Amino acid sequence: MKKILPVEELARDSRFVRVQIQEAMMDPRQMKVAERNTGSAKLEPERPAAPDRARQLMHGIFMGELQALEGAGRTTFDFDDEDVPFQLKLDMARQSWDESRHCEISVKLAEHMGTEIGEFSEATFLYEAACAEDALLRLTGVNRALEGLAIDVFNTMKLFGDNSGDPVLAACEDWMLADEVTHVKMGSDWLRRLTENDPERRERALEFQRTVDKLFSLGGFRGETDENPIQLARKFRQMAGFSTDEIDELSEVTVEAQAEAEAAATAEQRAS
Amino acid sequence: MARVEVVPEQFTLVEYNAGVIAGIAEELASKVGLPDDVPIRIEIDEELPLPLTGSTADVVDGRAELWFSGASFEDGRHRATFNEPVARTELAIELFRARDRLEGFADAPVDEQLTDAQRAAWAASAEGRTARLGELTRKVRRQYVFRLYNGFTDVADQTFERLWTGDNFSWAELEALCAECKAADPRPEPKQKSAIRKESLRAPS
Repeated sequence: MKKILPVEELARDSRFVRVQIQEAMMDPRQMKVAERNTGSAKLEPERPAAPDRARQLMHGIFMGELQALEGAGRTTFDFDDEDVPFQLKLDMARQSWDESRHCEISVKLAEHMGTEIGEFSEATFLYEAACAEDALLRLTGVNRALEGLAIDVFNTMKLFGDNSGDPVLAACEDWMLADEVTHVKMGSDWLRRLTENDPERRERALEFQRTVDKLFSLGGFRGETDENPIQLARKFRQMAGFSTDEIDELSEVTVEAQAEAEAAATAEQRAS
Repeated sequence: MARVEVVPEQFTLVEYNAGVIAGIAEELASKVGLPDDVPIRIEIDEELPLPLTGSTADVVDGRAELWFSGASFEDGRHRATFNEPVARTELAIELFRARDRLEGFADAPVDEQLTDAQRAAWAASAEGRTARLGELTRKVRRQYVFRLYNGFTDVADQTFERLWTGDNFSWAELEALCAECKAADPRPEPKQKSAIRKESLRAPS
């Protein structure tokens, strides 16, 4: 069986249509919307179009869970015992099991909200971050960056469930959130153990994580202000092994990502 | 002069065709029973992408005035492209609501003044009727919207079924149904009104 499966070979049926995340971010309509005073961007029932915002985000969560399952599964398989400790592979296998349950829960939640699988397009940047040839980069890219994003998204969605009085959504998101904290903690613990005597390697891995974190901030989709639909979940990140300095740094990365996306969109608009 | 006017006549940000939309609206207006002498004006705000869906339906000086965000007709899988089955449903819902305003809903406030709960209830009734026309409908999606604004309760679910399957509600009856749901809803009062609308998302002039 092939090792390091490229993103083009992920198994998808005809319901799924792929899109480049840059394409969506550079949509000229996004700039037009940004010029309007639409109030806080936080996902709340009182926000304009809240039901469809929540449905689209839930579909995005399902796609993220599917790719997280594929990423963790590949890490279990792609590395031999001489490459990584067997215990690490066991952790990845356990994570794959968790992610497969999350996929099933996300499908049920999407149905609960009236969404069909494949109703919205799929961006594959999450899986792409899980294709590094170095297992350590997978731990930072997938467990700490991707699963960290999952913490932020699940916390946002859980709060939406709480605020809208939806007991099904709130309970399911809370349950999955608990797993995500464990997944991030696995990444944090293995990063420390594998680089205990190699600070340079640790720094390279963390640099990779910063790059992925900026990508996952999606040009301001995630952050800590009212302009960000997905809020950085500080408390849960601390529970998952992030230090306060690391969270502060991530917060700065989200601000940078938003500024860069706005500058790129402005340049694009001028050019057209 | 054509009965249906679509604004804008040319779209620049989305791949929509005003003539196609006018043709669909003309066909559906007859199906929903909107009188032939009622002119229809459809304004589409093409700057609003998915997921910023939203629409309004009012009758002003005898003319049906419908407003849609561009997202309401957009294909979720192919950015900025027209999804005809979805557009047919959304148009039918608002045409039904415009027709309602000429009949038992003459006392209803204009759309901008409806509460989210009233708006969700009225749309549930209109989409139920759209289903009986044979158009594509998304009942669970509509029920989710209804629950979001009328409560995740048994009373709300029973009310939704009545609205979905019924044909002849009046504005007074719809208000009463929303009041029943509110009485059974343990949630606190919403902080503000939501549902996307042209007044709250209008582009700066």
